[in-house]
Amino acid sequence: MKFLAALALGFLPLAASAALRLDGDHVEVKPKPEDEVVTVTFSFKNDGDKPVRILHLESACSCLSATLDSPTYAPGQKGTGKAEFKVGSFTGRQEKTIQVTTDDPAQEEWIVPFILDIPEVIEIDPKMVQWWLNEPPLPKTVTVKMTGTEPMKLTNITSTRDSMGFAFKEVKPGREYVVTLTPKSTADILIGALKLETDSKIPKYQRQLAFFGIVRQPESRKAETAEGEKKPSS
Amino acid sequence: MIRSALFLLALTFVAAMATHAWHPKAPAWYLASEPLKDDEVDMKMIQERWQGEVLWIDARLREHFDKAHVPGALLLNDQERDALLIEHIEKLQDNAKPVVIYCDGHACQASRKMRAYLMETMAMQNVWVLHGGWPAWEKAQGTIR
Repeated sequence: MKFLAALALGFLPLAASAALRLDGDHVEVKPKPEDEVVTVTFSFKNDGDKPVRILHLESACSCLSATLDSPTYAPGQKGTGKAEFKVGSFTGRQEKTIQVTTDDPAQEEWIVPFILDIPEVIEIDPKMVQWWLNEPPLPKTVTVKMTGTEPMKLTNITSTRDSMGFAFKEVKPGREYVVTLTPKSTADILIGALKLETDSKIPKYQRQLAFFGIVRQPESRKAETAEGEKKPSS
Repeated sequence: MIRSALFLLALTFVAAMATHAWHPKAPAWYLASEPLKDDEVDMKMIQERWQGEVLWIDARLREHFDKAHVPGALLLNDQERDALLIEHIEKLQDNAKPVVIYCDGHACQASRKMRAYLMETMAMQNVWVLHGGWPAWEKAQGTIR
């Protein structure tokens, strides 16, 4: 009996409830397209019945860092955190976390989830155009859409490979362009890219890449193609 | 007295074992012999398979790369990916060597993420993640400054 009681006491901290709680399920961050760095504050509370000391903060992504406004939080005390997100090349919805290490055995790690929604200003579809090795070198197209609030013109294109011909035309001024790629030959494996230049005022959108490749067809795809089914993306 | 002490010691041991078994971030018992994942290579394999002749990609932050990196490594991280790809595209497209990507260590996912991106977006093949990341290379070779 004594043994069981001691064992239960030994494991009690593992079963106790968490103390630090975020206001809401996650922290939402919505940078503007031109933002390089965005900061956001978040609120939380010590819901437990004893003080919690913050030992360490760590982010799963080097793009995200955070600080808290106090080293210790008393029971019932509210706190504020400040997070900084380096936008860089990220686009779309990104989920990141900050791990807060505390001295509370019941909550050694408190995970603060962040959801980042970074607007995509330029959409290149598909991101890579492929031909199978020895496939007929027929033209394939890439659509470039300027999806931001401000229109953006595609001003110039260069290829990293002389063996890839290309041309582009404006479909909707400042909004949509179609780029046609035609390989001179598909006899050799190759990868390369088109460098797209725009008149965007935001430096990171002034140059973009659209990839192309002549690749060996996987055995599994060969069987499908033989049956008259799928071809590589265009 | 001794009996009580031994009992407490045993109890502590049981609690520690249980914590290790249940804790999501418990370290491996023998980290050095942690098995390689399918997409990983270690320093020994790089020597044995390719005599060290690989294209290194450093997926860490620029400030870490600037402090020290594998000689000849290309900086290609998630934060500056688009700009760095434009810078390195010619080297990458002409590369015929196996590509090995490293980041900060066992826990980081940056090299695995970059591998997936290069394989999907550029149809690159023969791309690997260095087991143990930068510390594994440092341990095996030394650094440049």
